[in-house]
Amino acid sequence: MPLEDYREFIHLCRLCGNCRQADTSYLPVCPAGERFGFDEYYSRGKAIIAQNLLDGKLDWSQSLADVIYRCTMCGACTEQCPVAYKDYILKVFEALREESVDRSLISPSVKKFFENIYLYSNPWRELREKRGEWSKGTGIKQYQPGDEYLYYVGCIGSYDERGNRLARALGEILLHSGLSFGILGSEENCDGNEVKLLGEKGLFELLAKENIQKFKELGVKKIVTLSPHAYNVMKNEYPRYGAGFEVKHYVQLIRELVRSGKIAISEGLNARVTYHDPCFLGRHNGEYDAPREILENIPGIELVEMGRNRENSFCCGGGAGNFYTDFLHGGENSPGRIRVREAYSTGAEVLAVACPSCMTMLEDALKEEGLEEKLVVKDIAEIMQEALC
Amino acid sequence: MAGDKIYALLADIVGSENVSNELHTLQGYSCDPTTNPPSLPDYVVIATTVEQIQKLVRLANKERIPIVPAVGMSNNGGLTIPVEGGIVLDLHKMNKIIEINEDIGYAIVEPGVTIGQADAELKKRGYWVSLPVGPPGSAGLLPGYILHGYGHLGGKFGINSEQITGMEVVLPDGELVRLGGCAVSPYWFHRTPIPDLMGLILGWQGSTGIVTKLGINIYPRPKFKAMVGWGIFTTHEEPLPESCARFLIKLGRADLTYDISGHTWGAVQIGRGLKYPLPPKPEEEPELYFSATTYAFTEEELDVKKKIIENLVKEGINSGLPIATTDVTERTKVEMPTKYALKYSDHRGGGGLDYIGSITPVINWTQGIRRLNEVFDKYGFTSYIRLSIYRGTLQGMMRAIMPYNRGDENDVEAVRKMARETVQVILDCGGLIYKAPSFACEEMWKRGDPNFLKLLKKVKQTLDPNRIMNPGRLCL
Repeated sequence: MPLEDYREFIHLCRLCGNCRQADTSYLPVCPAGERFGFDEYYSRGKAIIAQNLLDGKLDWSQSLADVIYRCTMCGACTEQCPVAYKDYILKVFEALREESVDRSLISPSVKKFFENIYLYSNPWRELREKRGEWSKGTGIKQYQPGDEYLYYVGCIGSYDERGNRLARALGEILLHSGLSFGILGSEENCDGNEVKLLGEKGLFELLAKENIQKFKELGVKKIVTLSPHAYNVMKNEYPRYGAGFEVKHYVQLIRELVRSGKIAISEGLNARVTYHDPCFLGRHNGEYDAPREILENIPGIELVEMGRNRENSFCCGGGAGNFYTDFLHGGENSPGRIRVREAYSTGAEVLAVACPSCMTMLEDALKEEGLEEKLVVKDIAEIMQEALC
Repeated sequence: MAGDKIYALLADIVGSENVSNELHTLQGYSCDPTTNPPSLPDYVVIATTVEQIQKLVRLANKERIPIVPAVGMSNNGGLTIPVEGGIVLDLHKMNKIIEINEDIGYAIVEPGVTIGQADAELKKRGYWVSLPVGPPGSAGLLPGYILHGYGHLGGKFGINSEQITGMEVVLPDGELVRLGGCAVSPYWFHRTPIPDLMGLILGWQGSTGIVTKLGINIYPRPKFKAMVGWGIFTTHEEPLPESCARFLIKLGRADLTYDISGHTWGAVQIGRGLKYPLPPKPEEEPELYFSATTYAFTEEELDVKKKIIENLVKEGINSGLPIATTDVTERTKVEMPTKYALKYSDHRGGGGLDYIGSITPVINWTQGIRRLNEVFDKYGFTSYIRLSIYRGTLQGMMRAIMPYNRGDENDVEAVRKMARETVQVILDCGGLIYKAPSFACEEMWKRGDPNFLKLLKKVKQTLDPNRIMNPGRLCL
């Protein structure tokens, strides 16, 4: 929706600044605010920006658009907001981005991201034909009508070397469970979650409609995603375009398979583990328990919590395309570095994630912090794979 | 939009990433949720060390640029709106709890330490401090102390500024000075018996210096809490008879409570999330709700304290006062710090919240509540008055709170007028405005001793001859 459509809601912001800090732990929650510091990076400041734009007291500029894009849309501010504005915060952010796109005020990296998705269906200009190469030799087959689940892998799982390992780990678990499933391989397209959050509504609609049409043609009824970002957009946005699929993130499916006895677990990691809630699984979709249940059921794992967890979790810095644009990178205040320091302070040996984007962001941060020898980032799919009987 | 000479000098001190003169940055520091008129700074600077603050103040002096400190951007009352422009000095990154001295009973905090942060850290060690009532946990702790705010333990320990044990201040000339016992002793434990110069800083609203460290009393944190509630069943026109005011004083003097607070009927409904316009008050409900909060270290202690308070309330009822006990279950569960108070601003559907707070003799609340009710009625607003008794005194906080719709110009204008009329009511009741907006300062000085005003100006001129520290704020 255009920014103008939110005029009557923007003044609901109480200007109280509570969007800066988590209740209960009282630690900072805004990754952009922590990285850059000025009030405009917090939700309070963006409400003032939006109001002043609408009132003609502020003109659009490249510098303003840069501020608007230095946000991961992690939703931490919405959890802290005590008033009705909480329901509009992310919508206002998205409207600001859509207007930045309309005014051609996006940075070259965002522009490149859109172009690459449009031309290549992924952010890195990789060939579409290579999208399923990660699955070679795994026994994972192409989706066939009649398969119970479509395993949707996503861009990072398909092209990133580390992401490939996660994709294979999950594939192996699903094969082990005997579930009937398949992938789309070279026919898979970008899910569009980041495109939407970066404000390119037209491209997002194109992707969503193409994906929905493809899924329908194949008779897909159920989808399991590797990435919480794909899960978020397919579950919450695709239905607006006619989708009626049952969508699960893989931790939800694994929990079901464990509970039903279709996956048997032996002793896996013998380690103290702390879990990082991905924003698009946790805050955006309320799934906090499934990953914890999986980890707690693996013998040998001692699960410890970071001060910021569940709805008060601290974003890795990769949301809304920032894993590609990297606007929040640089210096010890980059969100990923803050997060791995927090994880390390728990005494954990393993930082567990359930998102390929979090995986890449936090692994990079670990190297920058010089903690590679002391802490390792593992996806729950990898941890689970190691624990299979 | 960097580029000018001052920008370059500021960037030399704090680094270019910590200074901005972009309009979209400046606007965030130009306003607050009150009706105080917005005013743009020329620069916003984030400082991370005391040395940087000293250099910035010296630069401001040299260039004759105003400088206004700010912390958590939860400000009310226009406190950090730079009335004459200049530099807003954002101190939120100076957020270390420097010391918690359990042997002597104080903590030293930097200006960016938030209420929630301090409470969470102290809680781990079994302590607490008087937490400012109203602001969220993300608000700065320090402003609620140096501006004479009220805390949740005010009924036992007095107003927050009475809990200050020492401070470090950058004066307007850039000199760094310690005030209180820490000026002589290695410990930050007491303000006297040496000359207490904190009066040069406390309540001056950033007009005489920038506090860079603050020492405050910490207290052992009791495990158990109880609340006793009662309502005052009177009329909107005569809400608090003198007999009831004297009953409150008696309760305060019993020295058993950590807080005795009251709210008008409408305030309680707003707190419950009800929207404007409220339905008429049902006859069976009280005009004013009060509660006494007490804490204890053992259940036995709690039982005794609660029983004594209940007996005092019963005595009041038996003596024929128009009061009766009310349920407080809902409020018993509320922990400090809380964002409960922030929901008030939703009442008229619009994010705005103005208030005028005061320290007023309790005996004059009788007149004050009646007249404040009249002000609220005149403008068609729900009467929202909060009252709290300070320990060992016959005075307390009387605060008129005005939730309003920021998107409605009529609301904004009405609240501006109400705030001014509220100031008159409070001053008529012999009260003093705290965290006073400029227009309230003006009114106080008009009614005050001319020589007091002369002395204020002389002190300001001596400390800040170039008028760089938050100029215009105190109307001096």
